[in-house]
Amino acid sequence: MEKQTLAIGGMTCAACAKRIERAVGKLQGIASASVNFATEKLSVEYDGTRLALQDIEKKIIDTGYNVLKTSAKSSATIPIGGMTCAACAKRVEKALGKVEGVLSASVNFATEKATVSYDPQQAKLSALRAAIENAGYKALEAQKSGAVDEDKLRKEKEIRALRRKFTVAAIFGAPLLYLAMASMIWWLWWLPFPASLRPMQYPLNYIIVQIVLTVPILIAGRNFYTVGFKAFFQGSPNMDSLIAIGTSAAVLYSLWASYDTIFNQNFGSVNNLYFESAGVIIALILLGKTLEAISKGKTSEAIKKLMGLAPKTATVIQGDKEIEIPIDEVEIGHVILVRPGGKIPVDGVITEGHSAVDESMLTGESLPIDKKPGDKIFAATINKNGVIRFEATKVGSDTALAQIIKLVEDAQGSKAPIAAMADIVSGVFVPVVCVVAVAAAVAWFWYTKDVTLALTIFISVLIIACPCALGLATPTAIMVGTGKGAEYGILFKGGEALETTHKIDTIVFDKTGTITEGKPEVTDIVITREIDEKRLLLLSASAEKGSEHPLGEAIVRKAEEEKLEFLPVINFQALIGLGIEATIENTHIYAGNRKLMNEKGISLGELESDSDRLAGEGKTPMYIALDNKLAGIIAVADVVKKSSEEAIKVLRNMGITVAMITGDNLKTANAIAKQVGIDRVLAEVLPQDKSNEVKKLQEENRKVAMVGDGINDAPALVQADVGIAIGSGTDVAMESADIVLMRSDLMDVPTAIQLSRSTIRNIKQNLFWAFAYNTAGIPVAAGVLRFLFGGPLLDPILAAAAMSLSSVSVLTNALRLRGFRPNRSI
Amino acid sequence: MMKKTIGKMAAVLLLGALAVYSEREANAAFNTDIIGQTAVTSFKAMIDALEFPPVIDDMEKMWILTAPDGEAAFWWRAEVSSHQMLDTYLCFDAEPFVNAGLDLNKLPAEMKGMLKERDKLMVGRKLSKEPLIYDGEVTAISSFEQIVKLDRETVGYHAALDHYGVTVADGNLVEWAKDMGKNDKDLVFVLDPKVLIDAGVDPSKVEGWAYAKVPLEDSRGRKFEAEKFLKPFDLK
Repeated sequence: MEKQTLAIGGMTCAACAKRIERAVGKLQGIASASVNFATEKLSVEYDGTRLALQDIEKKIIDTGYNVLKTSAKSSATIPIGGMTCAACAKRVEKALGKVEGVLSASVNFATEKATVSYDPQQAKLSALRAAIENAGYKALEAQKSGAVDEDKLRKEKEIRALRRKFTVAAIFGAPLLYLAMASMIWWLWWLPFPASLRPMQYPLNYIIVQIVLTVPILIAGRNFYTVGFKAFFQGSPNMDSLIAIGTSAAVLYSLWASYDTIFNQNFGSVNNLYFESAGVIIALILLGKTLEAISKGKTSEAIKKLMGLAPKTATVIQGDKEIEIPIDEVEIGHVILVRPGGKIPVDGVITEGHSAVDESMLTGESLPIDKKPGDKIFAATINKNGVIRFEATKVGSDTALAQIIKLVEDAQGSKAPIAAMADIVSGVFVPVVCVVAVAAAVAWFWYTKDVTLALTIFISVLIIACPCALGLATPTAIMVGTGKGAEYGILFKGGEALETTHKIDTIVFDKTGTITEGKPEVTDIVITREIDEKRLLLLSASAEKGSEHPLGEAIVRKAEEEKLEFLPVINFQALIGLGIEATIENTHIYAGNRKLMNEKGISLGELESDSDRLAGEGKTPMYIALDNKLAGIIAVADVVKKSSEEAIKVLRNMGITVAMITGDNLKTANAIAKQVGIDRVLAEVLPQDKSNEVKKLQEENRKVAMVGDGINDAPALVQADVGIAIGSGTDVAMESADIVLMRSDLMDVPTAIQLSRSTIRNIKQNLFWAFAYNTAGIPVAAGVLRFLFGGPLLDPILAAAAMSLSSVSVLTNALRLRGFRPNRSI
Repeated sequence: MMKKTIGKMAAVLLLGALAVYSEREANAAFNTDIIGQTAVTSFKAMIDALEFPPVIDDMEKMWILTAPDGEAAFWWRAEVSSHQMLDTYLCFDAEPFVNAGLDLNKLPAEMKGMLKERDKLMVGRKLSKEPLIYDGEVTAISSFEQIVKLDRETVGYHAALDHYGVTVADGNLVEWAKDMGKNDKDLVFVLDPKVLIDAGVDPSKVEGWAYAKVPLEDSRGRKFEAEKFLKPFDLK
């Protein structure tokens, strides 16, 4: 299966998104197709052996939309030395033009600079420099403008085009409205009204001027007709179809009234002109679309901020030279120099120098981290105080920053289950509205024999019912919510995670590395009479040398501190959830928890009381048995994170049950739990049983989140309704989780839940308004109030204003989420 | 920013110019005044249907269209000069209104110009100082056509009754059917009742005139209803 994301152009409402989903979904070989109306992207999964990407693109185009190509175009200005005349400039231009991937090259002899536009996929800046050098000139240090953000440019272009169209529609629409509505604003008698345009004296003048004013507006809104009628005749009407049908009905009826006035001399028909309805509807909808496009741009500001973190250039060491090259030309293996205050351009490993690196933009950790040769550093982090050289290990889309951006982008493009209802409604909404509009118009005509009234109702129903707000309600809030999460270092992997998180009523924390720092230290060594402390530590540390368990590592570190020389080990074996066994100098060793001792039938004997005491102090006793006889206990304690207690307090105050799960013995677990305020403890749980414990909680009808960091937590993270991996954890944990916390601060857990709750509340508000506009607007537009109580009808112009307002209000509400602040004082 | 503002202002000016231009061009290229044109032809059709066609008053140089019952008449100028007081007017018998309580002393003087000589009241207006210029023979129709040209705004279409009308004074009109084949009120004299009621007339007691609400439109197209004294005639 192959996965692709395509940028789609020409969509105007949620019905368009459904239409594309349906069209693409019908292709043979498509596994899934999902269109996000807010991001205007199609995520498609397909069988590459049965279907080519071009087939999918063709289908989209056939359906009436565009596939937007995103060729990353770059431009660079290269100062050139050695030119003596205009012919030199021409020669350089020619040389640059021959480089594959160069789109245009222009050399200014006066400024001695070449401006080159090129595709960075095909041409590198070094190739451009080489071409200049080969032509006999000197290529000086290039100034490369950042890669052109085509998506941003496209959006800006779209906003400009919409603004231009709206301006045209407003300029022609305002006098048209004034002309048509003059009779309704008679109380503004002092406003001038040309005598030669009085409808009952000069009806033809009145008609001509109205048509002259209407035509430019129709041209400005021509997309509504080209897209709308195409969709209508293809059997999948969308929002454009409603506007196109509604305004066309108004225009056609007005043209008929004009004909009747002029050629049948039924001058009373001049009162039946509705050009202004069509014109003002288009103007208002263009205004709504313009505001919508501007607001949509703001919803993705968080991702733009992330993208802006990366530096544009890197200083590469080549021989003795320092060469500044564009970031996309850095290759794995390049040695890069970063001076104090400089940004790390790509991921790598330090080869020379020491420094403190500020990683707050990635991890949220406010204190700079000391880095030395051999340590990893990451793109976009800041070198604080030392000169360092490092070898690039991950570049381009492989850097940690790029991965985070991709994660956020994917999440923003994904759908939440709550969107399903809006999707279903959007899918059937437009055809239903068409039927309602026709039925209402026919009923009113039958009831009153008034064509004008029937037409007004027909147009009003079509216009008020445009479902754009419905299509925007969920994705815009998810975009802002996930973006806001990224700002706080909380990466939601999708809309579903964001939605489910707000339902969480139980959180299970893994102990080691989650509630605690995960760097335990040896605190006590208790021995039997047959061995001394040093020998016990040496044997157990030698045995644990091959272990990756944090407790084992603590023992190894202690031995290293004591400068003990490790002994050779044979037959090492990790006993999952229990400990290890090994043989050293013909002595068989078991090192592990109490369960291991029980399983092997080893009695604790005289150390039983010490064991209980240590566990009661929150320390983890590691039992060391030599040749199946307990030789001693090494107690290891982990430091509780500063934020754990506060985070758990906030969670409990939020009404969430907090549990702790650990493989540790019950006494130790209880001691830690008491320290941080947890009242439900799941202790002595084997790694493979962690997911079962989560399942048991779920069987109590709880919505369970699991917070963990280790490989052993991965099954539980998957089993939980929401898996939350903390940033210092393993890749496997992060892969398995639904939410990744970029830093190790547990306060981010309540923040994630609060953000989810805020986002879902925002989505519900959006959906309420979107549905309210339509459910209240349609009956009013259909004349129900008039029929029942002789109440008001909805003028088509007011319908258009209300419809535009609905989209704008939904977007404005979604943008309110940008002001989200976690409440830590609950 | 400045350029954009100038651009927008230019666009608005262009728009205004375009609207005026289109309207004037349309007028110049072909006559867009379809009401003015058809009002004259239907006026002729109405006159042709009268048993007693309009006659000219040689003294006043005015055409007189007398209602079939003889109680009202529409006068319009055949020649216009600066010393004349009124160029179009409607005159009607004072008697029905006096019988209905009219105190003649309360009427404005200009309404009583014909009272002594003819026992009639009158309402009318001065059109222009410009002389009427005829291409050919002076007839009732050609004079009416001149008046339409001279003061086009006095002639309009009354959609509710499918009538054309000429306003002889504020709220006082003479209307005629656009299409007599489809109308039972081919000629209607319309009086604004306010001045008469203010002078003591009880509308319910006026004989020979109907007192009714009439749907009307103002110059901007606003629809409203107003009470009028009406004297309608079916000329068929």
